[in-house]
Amino acid sequence: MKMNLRPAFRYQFGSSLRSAVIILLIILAIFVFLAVGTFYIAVGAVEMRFTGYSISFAIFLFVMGIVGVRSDMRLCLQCGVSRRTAFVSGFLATLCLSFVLALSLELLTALVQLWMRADYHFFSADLYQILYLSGSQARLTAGQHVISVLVNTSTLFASGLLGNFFSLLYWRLNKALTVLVSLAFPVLPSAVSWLMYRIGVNLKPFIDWVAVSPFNFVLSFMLGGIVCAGINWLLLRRADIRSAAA
Amino acid sequence: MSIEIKNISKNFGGTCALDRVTLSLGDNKIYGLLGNNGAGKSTLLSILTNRLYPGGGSVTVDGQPVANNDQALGKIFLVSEKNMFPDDMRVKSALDAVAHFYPAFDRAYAEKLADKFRLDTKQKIKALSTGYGSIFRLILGLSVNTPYLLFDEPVLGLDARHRDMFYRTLMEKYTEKPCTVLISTHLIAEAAELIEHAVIIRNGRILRDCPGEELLSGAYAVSGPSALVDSYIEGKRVLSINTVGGLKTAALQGERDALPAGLEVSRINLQDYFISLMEEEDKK
Amino acid sequence: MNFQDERPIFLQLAEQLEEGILSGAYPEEGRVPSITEYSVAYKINPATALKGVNLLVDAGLLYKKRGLGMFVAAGARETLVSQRRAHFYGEYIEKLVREAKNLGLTAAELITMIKRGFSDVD
Repeated sequence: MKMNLRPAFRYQFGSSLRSAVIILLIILAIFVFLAVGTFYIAVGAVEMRFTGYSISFAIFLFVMGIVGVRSDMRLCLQCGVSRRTAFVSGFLATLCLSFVLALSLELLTALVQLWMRADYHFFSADLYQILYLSGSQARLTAGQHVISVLVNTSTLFASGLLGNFFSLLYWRLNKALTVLVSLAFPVLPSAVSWLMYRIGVNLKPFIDWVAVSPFNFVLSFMLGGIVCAGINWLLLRRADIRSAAA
Repeated sequence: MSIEIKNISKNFGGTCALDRVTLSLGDNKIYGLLGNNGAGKSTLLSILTNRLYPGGGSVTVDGQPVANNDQALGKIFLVSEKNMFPDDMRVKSALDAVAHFYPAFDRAYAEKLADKFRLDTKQKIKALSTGYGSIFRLILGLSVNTPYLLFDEPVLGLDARHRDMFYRTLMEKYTEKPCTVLISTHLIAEAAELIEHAVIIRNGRILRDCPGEELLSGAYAVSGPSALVDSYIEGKRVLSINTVGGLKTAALQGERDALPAGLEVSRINLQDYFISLMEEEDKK
Repeated sequence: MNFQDERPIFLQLAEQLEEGILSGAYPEEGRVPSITEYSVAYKINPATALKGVNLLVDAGLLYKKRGLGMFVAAGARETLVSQRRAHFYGEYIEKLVREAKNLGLTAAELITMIKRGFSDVD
């Protein structure tokens, strides 16, 4: 059966992009405020730092992932789009949105870093720069910007799908299970680490492996996102899609 | 060209919502899906549109299975009883969305209807009253131009004037561009004369599925003095009996015998028939 | 249209059309309402409206002009008048006399009443 992805993708990508632009504008405003502030007011006095702002977008995608997946499913089913098509187009929309946002953030970072001079006392760096490069580097090279885009894309992508996961998980649970699962979450990390200790799995080599190269980071986040999407489909496949108004 | 529903069953927890329902919808007719609240009407419509999965059975639209099928689902529009759009969406944006997904959606006509019903398209959906929420969804259905148009309790919360306007607009639309329409309702009297084919559902099972006329042609009411009525109805299939003082009215189904003097016979309308049928079933 | 009436809607519609023709509301060679107009006005299924109208078409009282609608046939009124005259005795007189007998009215009294009716009713 052929999937008619285009309208669903355009709707989902378009609506999430519209909300994302607002956050992008806020980040831009913060940049301008800080940059102008350090330049005119606090010259030489204090050093301003603005770092890791892609985290804002990761949280945004996480929340959008929670809120969006149910309302998109409802709208799509009301508009004659099957849940499978809506799911696939939602996945693609998350991927594209992650990339577009990572790219625009990078452009912003590049512009700010180009404009900055050592005596401006303004320092801006995103996730990749903080995690993998020394904090003193003021400007990234073109190649480093590309890696930064990939790091951010994978982070945002995984956050979005994780958001979908939580939303879909709770969609499928009845009241009793909702309480049970909610109670289980705080216990989960220690339970998992205990289990891994018992069966002799050590996470440290994996963390070291991720720390070695940003590409390992990208790979593990992308794979994490894809595995999450697989689980999400299993949750959504037979879900009852009903109106939000009970 | 039809929607074919075969042996659909659905359980919620331990309770059976639908029990081997088989039904065919097509030929550009107007169907009435009649049943009391909780009879399984909404569940059936949700399964038709793949919002719910049945426990068993199949649904096809023009020969194609409906599950995960954009071609099949795109031919159906279900005017739901409740809102399926994001709550904070404006009516205008919802019209945009439907236009985006259904190429045949007549945007200009929808705007015209919104004007006629005085629906403010700049309002958010969640700000609409119950009645206007229904009107908003009805307008979508009347403008969408799909071959299959399903209404789930269309006049819920509508005042008398708006109900009247809806039924008239539906007939106008239907005579101009015929399509297969299904009206699911427990308010039978209002929709009775619009319906060409009646499907009566009770406790998840189809009790009747035939042209409205055929349904009523075998049914009639006899009234007169109790003793006379009692002797007349003996051996006949009695749907219901009403006694007021010495006067008895019995709803019957089947061939009519010659009427003894003193008894009067009258036609049963769809609502009376429905009520009588429910009473008969209650006794089982 | 009276939905409480025990007769089917399509018969009521046909009768209403006949009344219109008899009264001159629908003159000969004039257009009668379309199926759409009937189904919208009375909120009835167009198939029902069509059935009612077709009764008159089959009786030769209405005819269809392609693309224009339904029109009253020439001589339709005349046909209706003679039809109704033929049924007058069965439809009205028999009932009238039966009721009169129930009430103990004599033939002479009934005739007097009928005469009074002729002078009172326009």
